[in-house]
Amino acid sequence: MELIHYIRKSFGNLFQRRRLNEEMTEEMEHHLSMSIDRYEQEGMSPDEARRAAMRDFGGVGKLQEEVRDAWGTLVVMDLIRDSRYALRLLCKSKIFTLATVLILGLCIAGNAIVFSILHSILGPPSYPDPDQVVEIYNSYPGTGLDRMSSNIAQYLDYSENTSVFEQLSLVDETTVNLSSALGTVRGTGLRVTKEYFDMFRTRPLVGRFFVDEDFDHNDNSSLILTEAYWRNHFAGSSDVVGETLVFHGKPFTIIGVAPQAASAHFGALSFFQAWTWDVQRTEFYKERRHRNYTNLWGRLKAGVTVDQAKAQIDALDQRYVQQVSQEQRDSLNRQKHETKLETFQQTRQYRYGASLYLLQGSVLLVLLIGCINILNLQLTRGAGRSTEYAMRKSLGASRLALFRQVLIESGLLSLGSCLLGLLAGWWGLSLVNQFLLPDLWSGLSSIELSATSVWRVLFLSIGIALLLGVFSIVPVLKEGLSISIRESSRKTTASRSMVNFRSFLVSSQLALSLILLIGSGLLLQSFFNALNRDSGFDARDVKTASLELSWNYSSREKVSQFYSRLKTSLRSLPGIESAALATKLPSLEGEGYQNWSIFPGKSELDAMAGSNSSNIVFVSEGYFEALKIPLLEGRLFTAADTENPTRNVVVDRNFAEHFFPGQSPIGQQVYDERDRKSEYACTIIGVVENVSHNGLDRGDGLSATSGRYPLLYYPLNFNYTPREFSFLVRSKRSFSELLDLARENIKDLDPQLPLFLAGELDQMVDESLNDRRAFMLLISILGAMALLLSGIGVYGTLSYDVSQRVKEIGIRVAIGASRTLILKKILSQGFRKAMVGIAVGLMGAWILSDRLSDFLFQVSPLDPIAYIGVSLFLLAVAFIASYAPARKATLVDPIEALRSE
Amino acid sequence: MTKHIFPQGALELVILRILKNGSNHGWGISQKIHLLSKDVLKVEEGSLYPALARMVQKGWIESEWGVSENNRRAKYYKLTSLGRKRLSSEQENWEAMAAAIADILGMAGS
Repeated sequence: MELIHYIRKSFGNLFQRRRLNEEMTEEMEHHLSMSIDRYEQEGMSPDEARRAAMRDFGGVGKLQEEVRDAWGTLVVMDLIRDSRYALRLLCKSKIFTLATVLILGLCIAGNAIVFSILHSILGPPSYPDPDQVVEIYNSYPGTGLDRMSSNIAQYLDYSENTSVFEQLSLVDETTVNLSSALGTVRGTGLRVTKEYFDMFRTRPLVGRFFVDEDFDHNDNSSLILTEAYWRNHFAGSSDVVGETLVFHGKPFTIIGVAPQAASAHFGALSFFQAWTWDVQRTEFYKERRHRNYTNLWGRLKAGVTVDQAKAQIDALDQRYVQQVSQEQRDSLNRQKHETKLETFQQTRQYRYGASLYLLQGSVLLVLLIGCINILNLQLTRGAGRSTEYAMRKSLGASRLALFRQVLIESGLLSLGSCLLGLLAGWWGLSLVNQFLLPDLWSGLSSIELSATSVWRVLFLSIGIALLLGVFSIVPVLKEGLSISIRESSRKTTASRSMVNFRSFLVSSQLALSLILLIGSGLLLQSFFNALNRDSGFDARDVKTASLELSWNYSSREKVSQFYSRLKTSLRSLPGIESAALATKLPSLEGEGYQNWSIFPGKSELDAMAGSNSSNIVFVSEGYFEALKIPLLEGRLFTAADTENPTRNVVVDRNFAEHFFPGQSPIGQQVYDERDRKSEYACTIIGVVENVSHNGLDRGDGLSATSGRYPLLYYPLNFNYTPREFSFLVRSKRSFSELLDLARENIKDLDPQLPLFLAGELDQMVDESLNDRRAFMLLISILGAMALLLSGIGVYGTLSYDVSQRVKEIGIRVAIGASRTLILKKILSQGFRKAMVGIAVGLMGAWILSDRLSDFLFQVSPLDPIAYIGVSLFLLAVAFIASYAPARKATLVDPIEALRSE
Repeated sequence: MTKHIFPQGALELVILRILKNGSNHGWGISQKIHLLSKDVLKVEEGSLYPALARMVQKGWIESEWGVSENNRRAKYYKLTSLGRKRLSSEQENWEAMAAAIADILGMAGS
């Protein structure tokens, strides 16, 4: 308190010295005049009275000095003088200052960016008590499905029979065709149950939230807007209640607006819909407890832990298992089913944690390398300045004053770097938002430079300032200042401990860079492995787009009618080689992707295989032709198979080898587990080659345990007519031209049908690797920075060594050492440093290799090519960096060098 | 009569105590010290001013300009709340210390 007052007052006084001086004089004169008056009253003559008063008062000049001391301006002025001096010095050595501020600034910018990303992704969400809100999901590690969603049956069971939840809510992300005056576009929202908004403890911004009446299955037309959509499309107007939005041709009435906190777990959302179902089907849903198609969220009561809640849920799961048939029980046991609870932060941690921490580790490594560089620069400079220090010391500066000077200098340097860093970081974040965000962290709207990260960066800078200050002066003080005042270059060599310390710095820089570079090398290899992988289909010249039919297509007949009209109209376009429809495109994540258990006709097979699941795609005739997927056996679908479903299916090679090893699958029967007792058995008519179904850089399919990824193609019309699907056409014509034509044709079929996910298939497949590409790019940028910095480090250290040893080299040359010998000697010095660095770095990379394995594709984290290649590369860089100083050493003129002796 | 120089910190304590009775200017304070100490404590009057400046700096007292008895402009000092707190704590300290020293001296004499 007193101290703060003191400092504030001191700075204030600084700008009022004149006024303070005048006031002090006036005050003292007043004192004297009072004394004089009194002495005169006692009968003294004016002269005597003045003398007496002056005697009582004491030495005016000395007292005035004391008062000025008390103002505290001297300390401040010292500080300013030191700063001014430091600034002058820094301006004088421009290259040093610029290099330091640039290197540090860039490193700090990187850290500011990564801190901000980390904070906005892994930081706490914006609603109260976020640790009490959990996602409840099913896990089946026995079949490699660690993370499936949940279902209505579990929602009902847990709502009725547990006492640990304040709220439980079903949550389902849904995308619709949203029509307004501006046309029809795709919009994403959530279907939720009544408890949803209470769970996040939110109040409506406008209007109201859902009540029981909104959950009438025959009339659920109430709609709640998200804050973002409301602000963008209704300018935040409170008159929005009662307005109508049209989904798939059906009108919805807006009843309220939900604040941002209610959308905290999702990316760009537009609306909330009431989740309803036909009450008469409740029993039907209860029987299908492990058909997971929706998310389940809950808020734990205050004081209830996740473990306590899980205990209750486990008990209910156990009770359910006791009620089902022996067969289902065995199946669940085999799948090792478990219901799991996880908080939002845990989910984010699970999804993004590994990559983010890797990024943070890398960026801190670069900062460390940068700091070592600066330190090396400082040491070089410090050694050069020992004369200056010694001079100042002999002129009466205390050690403390010298230290203060150095601290102020490094403080100014890191302040400058910090400013540059924050500026560059702010700019870098806008780049991240623009280019990387959609690829790496699609759930976020934007990342801002958070206050927390600014503070962290400031603390980091202060830490660096202290570190640099201490490290740059301690060796100088230790070497003793008295000897330095003699001509410093008279020494022929630098002190042994200094040389060792600097070698250590350079080697550790190289080691750290090697670790980073090996990491980015492995990621690069993974990326190219994925890019060059044989996908099994030919995406060139294939154009695609997706659409979703409105609820007006209420029957299967209407949908399948649309299928055939669309196919006919597409095939009538000029320049089309083939056209087809499908629920999912290979290598792309898309809607309409299905998977469920398939039992081939032979029942003993499922026990044997350990897995009886398969991916399923619904395709029309022409699909395999359009993608040029080769037929291995049997025949492909014809129009007859998909127009009038024939219960014929096509399987891929994996499926054939997995379920029918050593025999031809043609003519064999397979059927869906659910319809086991019905007559929905299908006949296999053909076998096609495998394709990379789930993505170029992912294992294909469901079964992590068996290592096999079977795929089953159903004819599109068979027993399932999805309203959402994609079409694909093979044509040499340009995409935009074709798309316009297709749009026209589709408008004729249905005027209110937006196309989405439209593009050239090969491009879309390439873009599906964007997350991998972005991550690899980030790590590679950091790796390149590390490489550059350590190259500069090697160069700087050796240059300095050579300049320090000019005399020694001169003597060597004078007594007959050849130039080649000198060159070799200096080069071998650089080489030794590099070898030590590489050896340590390789060990570090080996220890850390585990951390990377999740991000690699078809490359071992200990891949010898990456390790050896990167080491050689680094060695080459070290060689180049040492060559220039070594060359300079050979040019030393012995006469010139020894002249001063 | 012997004049006693102030021990460290005592001058400030005395100034605080005098200002507790109301604001005053430098000359007034010096006269009060003479008067109240019955001329035992002698200050070099000028040394009041560095002490006052230090106390302003620490926020114990603050100053404002007024008109003094001889119709001249004078700087009046008064206690702040911080100074008031300081006075009571310093006074306790001082009394405790004085008592302790008196005890020790008394024992040495016995």
